[in-house]
Amino acid sequence: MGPADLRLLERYAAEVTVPPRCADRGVCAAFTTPALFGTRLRPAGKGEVELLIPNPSGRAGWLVVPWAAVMDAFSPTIADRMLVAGLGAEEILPETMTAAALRVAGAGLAGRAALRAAQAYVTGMRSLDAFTTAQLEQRARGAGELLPLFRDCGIGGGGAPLARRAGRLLEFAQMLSHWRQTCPFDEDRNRAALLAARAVAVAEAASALIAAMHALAADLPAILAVWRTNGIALLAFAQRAGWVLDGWELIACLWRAAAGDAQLQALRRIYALAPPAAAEALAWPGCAALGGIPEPRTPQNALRTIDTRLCEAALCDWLHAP
Amino acid sequence: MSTLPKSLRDLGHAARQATDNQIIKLVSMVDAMPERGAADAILGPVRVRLKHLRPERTLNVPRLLFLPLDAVLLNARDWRPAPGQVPRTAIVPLMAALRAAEPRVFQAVADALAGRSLSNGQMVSELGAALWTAAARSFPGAPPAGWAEAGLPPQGFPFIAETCKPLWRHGPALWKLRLAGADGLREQDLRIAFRTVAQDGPEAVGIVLSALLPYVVNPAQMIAIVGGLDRSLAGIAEQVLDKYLAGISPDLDFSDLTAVATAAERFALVLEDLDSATGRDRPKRAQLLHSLRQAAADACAERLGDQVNAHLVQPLARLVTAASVSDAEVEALEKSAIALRSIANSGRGLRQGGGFDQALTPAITLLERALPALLPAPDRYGFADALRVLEILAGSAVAARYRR
Repeated sequence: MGPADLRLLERYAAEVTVPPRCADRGVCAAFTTPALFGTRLRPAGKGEVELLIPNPSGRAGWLVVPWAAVMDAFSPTIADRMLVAGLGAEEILPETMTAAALRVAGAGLAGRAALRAAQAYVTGMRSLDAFTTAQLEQRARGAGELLPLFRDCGIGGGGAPLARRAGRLLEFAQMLSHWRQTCPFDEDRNRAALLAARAVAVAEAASALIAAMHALAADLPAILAVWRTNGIALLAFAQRAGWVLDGWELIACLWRAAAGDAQLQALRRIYALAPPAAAEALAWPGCAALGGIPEPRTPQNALRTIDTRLCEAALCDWLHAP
Repeated sequence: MSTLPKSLRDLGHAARQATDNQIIKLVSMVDAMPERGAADAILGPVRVRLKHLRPERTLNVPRLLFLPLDAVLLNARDWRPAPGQVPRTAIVPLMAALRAAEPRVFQAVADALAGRSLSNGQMVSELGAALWTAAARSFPGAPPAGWAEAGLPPQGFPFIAETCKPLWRHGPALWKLRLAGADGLREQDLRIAFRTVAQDGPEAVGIVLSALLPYVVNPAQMIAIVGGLDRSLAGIAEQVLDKYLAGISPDLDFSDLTAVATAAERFALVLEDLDSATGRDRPKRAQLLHSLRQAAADACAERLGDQVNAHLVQPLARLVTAASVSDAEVEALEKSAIALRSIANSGRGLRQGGGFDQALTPAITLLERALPALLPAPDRYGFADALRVLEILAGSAVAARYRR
């Protein structure tokens, strides 16, 4: 995001500081336009969407910008236009965003590497689904229909997508902690420490929520009965870990994709992109620590534009395996 | 170079013709030498390219010691006894004298450096601070042993001392500013650092500024800030800027198109910043900047003229009709398109109406003609592949017209 982008954004007020619900903070969109990377989308009513951008001025909050204004101001890549168009009338959730990103990448619009990553993701997800269904059926006859509930969290025993993502987030925190020892700038060392602390809190909160899902799986016949009468409530419970993790892995992927000197710039860029903790999540079991760490603000020296290829490399890493 | 052994001399000659990858290999060979000494001179012809290629370089004590002096080191034949420059031939005698004066510091740093590289900025800051402070403290009062043997005149010593001492004394601050310079130095950081340097006098400020300017993208802003710190610094800061301006040129002599694009973009950014340092009272500077702008624009136009056909139009024409293409071929074409688009952007910023965008027209026309017939086909050059290259070359709005 350069000075010209800053001027364009001046007209939008910062609105979102502490979002009451996870959905209020929007869902991280896998954009490849550098100025839009890591920003968040949410419904704006009447079939429109709006973008949440961390306040580039360095002040608190996220700016809320209508997608039409984003189109005018940032000239998004074809892949990004297709991503938003591909969401269509679907509810904007982490999983629907992932599905839309897979469709864009699968069409080759984010490049050949992203195409291969999307293909690998789809193949991997199919085999994971088959594995989870078999596990469910093994535990209780007919429990295979609970796949939508346990697809992302699994029923224990490893291999579930969200558990893997939480693990990768912990690795990211460790890498940041190691990197900060090599960084000569105090401010950036502090940023790395804060980001690592938040990443650990998020990974641990997600692990607690995943463990809660695994606990549910201990009595599948009872869950099956609830699923058949009140599936929506169960699904909302299952989606909690995805909401808590949403956005974190993509920004971690950008940092990993940036090599050498570029990691410093990537850190400054992702620092403010770390999603704010929603008030509702703080009340979820095992998630209180999400609220104990101050929210970061855009550093003054984060204005150098990262390039589209780095964003695409992050997207590939993010998609590479479920 | 004439005093080098034949094998090194041959390497030096070869370096002039080398590809970017060959240069990177050569640097790693030279860096691996326990005592580089005269072998360092073989890198002379490729130093400008090295600055942009930025290979991962292993560190040793001499390289770390002379890091703050990078911008003032010259090949011996270009050096004149004057402030603000140090001949590379002074490295060996100075290194030996300082190691003898500070054996414990040098040994501790040598032990800690084993296998480390410049990419660890904090380690360089810590070990460098120890080494540079020791060097400033123990700088010899007279030409050290080996001075004459290195071909250095005794009357050159005071100038070299005057240059080295402030750079080593302020090495830790200089190193951090140098690292931060690629993103544009912040006013508060500059003020803090240069208020300390100014305690050593305006000459020291001039030398430290000279050593820093080549690493920043906002040299004019930096000169204005430092010159504004104190009335006594304004003149010297402007002199440093004039000297810097006289020494810069658009070096786009790389075999790798991405390196050309990066160098062109950076040079255009620097010139944009330097525009703020011209005015009615500085006609010569404005004239010089105009010449630099034209030279850089010419260099961009030349590279576009040389490369668009070979790296874009021809491969594109082949790919759109090929029975099968690999991901690597598609990605290589995109990489060329990104670099050439960036060179054209830099050129257009340097000289409007220079025909930079038109240089890409043959490729855009080819794509626009091919797109309607292309299908989604992972084994062939597909619709999405072509649309992406069109987007790179002509922008998202143009590419969106072809969206299906």
